[in-house]
Amino acid sequence: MAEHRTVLGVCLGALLTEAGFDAVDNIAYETMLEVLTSFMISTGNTARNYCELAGRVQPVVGDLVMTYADLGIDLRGIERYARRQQRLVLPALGVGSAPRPITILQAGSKLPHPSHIPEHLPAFPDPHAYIRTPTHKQPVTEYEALREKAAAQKRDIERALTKFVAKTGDTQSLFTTDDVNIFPLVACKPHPQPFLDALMPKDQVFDEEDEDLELQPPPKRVKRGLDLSQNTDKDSDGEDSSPPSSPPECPDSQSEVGKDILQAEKISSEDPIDNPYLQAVKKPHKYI
Amino acid sequence: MSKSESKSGGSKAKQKDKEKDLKRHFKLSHQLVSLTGINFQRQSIIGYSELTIIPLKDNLRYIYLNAKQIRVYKILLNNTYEVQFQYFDPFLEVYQTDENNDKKSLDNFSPAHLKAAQATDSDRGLGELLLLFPEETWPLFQEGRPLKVGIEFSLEEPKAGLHFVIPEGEGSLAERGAHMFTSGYANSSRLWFPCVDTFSEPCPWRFEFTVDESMIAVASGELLEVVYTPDMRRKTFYYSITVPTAAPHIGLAVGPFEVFVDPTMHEVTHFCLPGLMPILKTSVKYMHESFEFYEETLSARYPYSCYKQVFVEQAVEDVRPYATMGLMSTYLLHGPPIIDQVYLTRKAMAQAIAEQFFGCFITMERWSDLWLCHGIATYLTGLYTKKCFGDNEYLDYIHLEMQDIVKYEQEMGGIVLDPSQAPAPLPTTQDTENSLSGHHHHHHHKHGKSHGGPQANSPVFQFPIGSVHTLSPKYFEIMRKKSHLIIRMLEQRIGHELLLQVFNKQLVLATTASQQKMYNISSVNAWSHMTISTTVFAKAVFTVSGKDMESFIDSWVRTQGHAHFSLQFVFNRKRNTVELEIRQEKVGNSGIRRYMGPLVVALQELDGTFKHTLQIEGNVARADLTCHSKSRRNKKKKIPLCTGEEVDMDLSAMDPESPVLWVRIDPEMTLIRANKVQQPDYMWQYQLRHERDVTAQSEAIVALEMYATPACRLALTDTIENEQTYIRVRLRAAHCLTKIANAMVSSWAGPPAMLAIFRKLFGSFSCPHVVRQNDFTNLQLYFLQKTIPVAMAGLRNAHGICPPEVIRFLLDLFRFNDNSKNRFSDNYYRAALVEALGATITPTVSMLTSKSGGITSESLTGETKLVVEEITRCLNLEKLLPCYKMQVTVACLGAIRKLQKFGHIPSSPAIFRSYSSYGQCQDVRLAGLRALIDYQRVDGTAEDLEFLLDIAENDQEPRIRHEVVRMLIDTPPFELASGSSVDAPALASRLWNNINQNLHFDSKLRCDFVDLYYALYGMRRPLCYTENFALSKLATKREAEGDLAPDGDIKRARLSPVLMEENQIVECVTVEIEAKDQPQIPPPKIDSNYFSDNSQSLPGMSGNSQGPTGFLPGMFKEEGSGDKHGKEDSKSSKSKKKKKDKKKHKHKHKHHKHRSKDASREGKHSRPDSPATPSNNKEETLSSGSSSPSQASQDVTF
Repeated sequence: MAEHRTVLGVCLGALLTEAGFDAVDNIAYETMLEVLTSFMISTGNTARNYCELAGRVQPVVGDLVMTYADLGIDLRGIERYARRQQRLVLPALGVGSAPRPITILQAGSKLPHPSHIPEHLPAFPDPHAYIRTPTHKQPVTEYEALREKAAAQKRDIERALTKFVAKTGDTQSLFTTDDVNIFPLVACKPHPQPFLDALMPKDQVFDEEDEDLELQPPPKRVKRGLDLSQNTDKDSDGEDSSPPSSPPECPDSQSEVGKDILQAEKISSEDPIDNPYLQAVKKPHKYI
Repeated sequence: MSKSESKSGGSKAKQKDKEKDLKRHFKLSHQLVSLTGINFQRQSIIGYSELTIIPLKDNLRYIYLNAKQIRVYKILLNNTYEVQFQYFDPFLEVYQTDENNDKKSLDNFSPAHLKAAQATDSDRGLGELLLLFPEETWPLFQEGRPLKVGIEFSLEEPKAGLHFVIPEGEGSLAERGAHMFTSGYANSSRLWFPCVDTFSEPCPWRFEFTVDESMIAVASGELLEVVYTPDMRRKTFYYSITVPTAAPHIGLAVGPFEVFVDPTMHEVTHFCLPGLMPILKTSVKYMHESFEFYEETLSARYPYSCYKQVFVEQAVEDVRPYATMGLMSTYLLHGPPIIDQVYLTRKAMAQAIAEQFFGCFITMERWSDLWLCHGIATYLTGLYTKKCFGDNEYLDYIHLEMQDIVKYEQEMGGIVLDPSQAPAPLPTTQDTENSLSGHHHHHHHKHGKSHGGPQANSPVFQFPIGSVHTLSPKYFEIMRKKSHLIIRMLEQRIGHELLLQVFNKQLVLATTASQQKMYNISSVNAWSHMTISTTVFAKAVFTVSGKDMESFIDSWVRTQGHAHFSLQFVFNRKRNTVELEIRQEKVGNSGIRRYMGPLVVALQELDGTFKHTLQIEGNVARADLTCHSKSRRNKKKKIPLCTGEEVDMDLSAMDPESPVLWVRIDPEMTLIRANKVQQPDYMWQYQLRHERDVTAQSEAIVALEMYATPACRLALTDTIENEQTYIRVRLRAAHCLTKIANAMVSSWAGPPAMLAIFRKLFGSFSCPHVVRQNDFTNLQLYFLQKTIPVAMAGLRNAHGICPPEVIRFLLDLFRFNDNSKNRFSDNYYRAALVEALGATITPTVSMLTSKSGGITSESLTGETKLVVEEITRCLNLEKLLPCYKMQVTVACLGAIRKLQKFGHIPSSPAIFRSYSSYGQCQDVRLAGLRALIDYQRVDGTAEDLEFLLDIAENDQEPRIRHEVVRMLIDTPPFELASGSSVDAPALASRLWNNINQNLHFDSKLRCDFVDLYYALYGMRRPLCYTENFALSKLATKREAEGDLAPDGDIKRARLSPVLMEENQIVECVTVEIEAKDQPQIPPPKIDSNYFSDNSQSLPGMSGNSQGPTGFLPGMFKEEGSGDKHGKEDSKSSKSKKKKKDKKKHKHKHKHHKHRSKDASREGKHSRPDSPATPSNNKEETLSSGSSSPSQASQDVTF
């Protein structure tokens, strides 16, 4: 489009010069360019319609004549106009170097056509479009180098991070002189609950798996009815606390005994741990 | 101190009267404590306490109770009669000096200190709060009829006893994690409610604590119910404890705790601060095992119905056991990947539970019986650690405890576990040391057990050992260790089973007693079995075992000190005997006593281990021990060891004539002793390689430090590599190898010591110089991996610097450290690496003070620069990714201080100050403070010291306060009479005011300050009070400047460091070390200046700078007896006055008379002292003068 516009603009300029103008306002120029464009488009469209109507693919002069008739344009005198003397000859349009598709990655050389493919058919695309292309060097598998690299990488990350923090926050220095930027120390900030960071470290994330494994409750001890305070509740608890286990696996425990066991287990699993700190807070005593 | 003794040694009759008076005339049968208003904003509580007492006599007109820092509003008897009360706390001004600086000496302070402690000692029937019953109530007092004393009180911003932790920030108090807990030292319940604050008066309790709706109150006893207040905004926790419990064992913690019921034992509940639940679960996972262990071992049930563990921040101690609850430091908690902390945490929790049995349930009758509770509880903990961590760990632990005791006793003096009664004067058990101070021993013996407050019978300490409120906390700590070993020694004498039966018997008796009720006079002794005393215990041992242990107790519990043996031997080839000589040369030195009795000597011969029991009867014992084996080095035969195993040995190193491989004294540690065995180095090497006992191996390592030979090097290297050896021995071998390598530096061939071992163990398969990815599943390797770099960092080459190879090796360890595949945290490992970097630092060649600003980053040498860079990186990274307990930061601070100290970076306290400020984690603060105190000693000004003292006095964390003072004692800012610029009268006055008045509420801190006062000034008046002290200081300065001349050379040399020969560097280095480490060595001249100036007023002392030798034993006795008279007079008059003289809180003018009397008395006393007062650098010897002449006389009697 832009090219067409440029060409039309040049034509328009020529026409105007022929008509005797020396200069043109930008807005007038643009308007006239629009008019010209619009005219060319309608001409083209209508001409194509006529030619297609006649079952052709390319318009002939007749189509154009019909077009102009349609558009209500008088063609008389056009011959004369075409042969006028003082017409300007426009310079040949510079064949602008067609922007070539940018080949980002030129890998390998293009294959020539095999003998059974005629030469006029398009050339093959870049080889990387249809073959495996090596995009990196062979990875280093030597242990030492790997460790070296991992260490360097880790160190770079850490250094960048600390540097960033040191630059953005308060710092302290080991030296009293001005060279504060050498060995900057990130200043320490007081924390209202310093133990939280210290006890729940964030320096490393550990797998939770084995942890969970270990955290499975160890087998429950048979509760000991603790002597001295002679708490009756406690003693009764002590009796019915059977070792909790997963629900019975074997479904053949339909006998009475089995049922009893089931019952007992139900109770013990439902029975919350008897610990005074887990019990609900009581409502205030009523004052009498 | 001699005064206090002589005072107590009054005439018999008077003493008896007094003793009769000195007891409580009532029994406590029940107490209720109700705290209704616990206010976090104002840090205040409002409370009510009701004591049910049973009078022991009809004409009870007044009683004393303990109450401190609380405001009492009203006291009602039987809810009806208002009772008048008076308050007097002698600690408000321990010793009245009237601002007379001359009297501000510990010599004066100590007796007054003990007196103050005894004046409020409930076991003497005294206390701070005096209740005077009005006349109309007198008919109520019939012997044995219970009465109720109700006391309304409040407490605002407590300085000790109760500790409030209120973090700043957004949100409600609960969201911020505000909490409070009891933090008293020893018997300090009086700091938060009125009580009979003694261990010997147990009773049942009820508690009511009303707290905010978001909080939980955890207290001693069983939680009965929790009820909302009528406004539903607060709730009340009702607790009851039916087992009679002594007031000091009542604990309380209030806070927004998270609750975790132990999954194994539902009676056990754990509490932690919000956010810590995951690590709480990990930390307490195995706690139930210790419960089971104790119950099985003692074959007795846990005595209470429940147990609670509360983990709080800013705890004063790691563990503080109360009845049915243990108050723990939150810093004991750890997550699953942490290794090192596990040992400490398990032990701490086990200790708290052991103390439930002995300590809380069975408690001591008097202070002098403290050793029993401590000893038994620690002994039980020891047994648990043995089960948990193994025999070697246990033996090593015992061995370390022994070394600690020996070190402390030799430094400070012998510890008497039970000073209440002198040992029976049998010639075999009587300790020579004590026979010197015979006069008061004698007196002790006469009234034996009956007197309440035990008196100081050891003349060596700067503090009276009669009361826990005057004891040095360090003494307290060592005493616990000694008690433990004594119980263990008892086990060896009567047998493990029998000893456990003794414990069991005590527990059974106490359990029976605890179930009884106390209604009236007939049952006032119902609970007597709840307490234990030395005598009772000795009887129980006799009943159970049939063995009379009285002489054992006399010789180890009632006598101070430990034994010290040095052994020499030669092998007599003709008779095939070992001629042995055991000497007790140091008897009479501080902390060392003469031992008489059996002593086991073990000879390891070619045919096996043979134990010989020798009877030690004098200072020198000789014996000829016949060897069982003939020398036969050519026969190849395995050699049996003490464990029964048989091993091959390379016998080429030993003397072909002798069949003795090595000799040991007292291999089972059946005595508290220090050993010095003299045997050739190859014997030590055999002992290290082949003896199976870890203590023997450790001793061999210590001995081998002296022998820098290739054979020794090989023995140590083999030990480090030997997987069969106990890990701590291997670690010690590594450190020892460092010393050997440094001593052998000129002949050392090959790579730096241990480098090969480290690479072999930890290098990766394909490239040994790159360390493997961390895998700490093998703990032995883990500890080696942590320790070897530190040991290697101590290596020095011929120039006295750390070999660059080692520094590079360490830096590579940092670089290649990869913990990504590890199940455990590498925080301690990384900290060890930083520590190792710190250990590589040697003094710089440059010698510029920080003030000149001369040290810049450019002046860093290549390797040091890398070290600084690494430390900076670690420290910065820790800010973003903090590791467990900030161990890396702690290590970094230490390393930075070392860099400063050795002149690589400017010496400045600024960084450490920010790390030691409130709001950092505890370990970091302590590390910062440690650096500051080290700085103080080298470069500190008076302002710097003030900063430290401000922390010691006012910091919000009690533990920090305590630790700062302890560190200042270990690294005092200046030596006694060194003429330091910091040593000013203002400082002395400040410290004096602390011990004399300001710290009346906190016994522990006060006693810390007493120790500090002693460390800085000795027993006598601080020298800085002397008028011409300033002059002498000037002189010092001038001389010091003179001394500095060589340093000037160094400065000049520094300008062209490149040109310097390496040898020169070495020289400079040594000078620098001296200059830096001991910057203010007092030139001896000043002292003589000082002496001559004052000599006129010193009859008998003038010009005699040889302090103690100027005394004759007789001189001292005279002085002592003179004191005695003075004291007796004042004492008797005082005791008469006592009843009338009870003053109210605002009693000063009334009290005046009494005080002036005191003053005049002190004046009298100070006169005989005065000749010695201005002596200066002999102060220390003079102060212990009362012991030294007697020692001299003893030496003669030998």
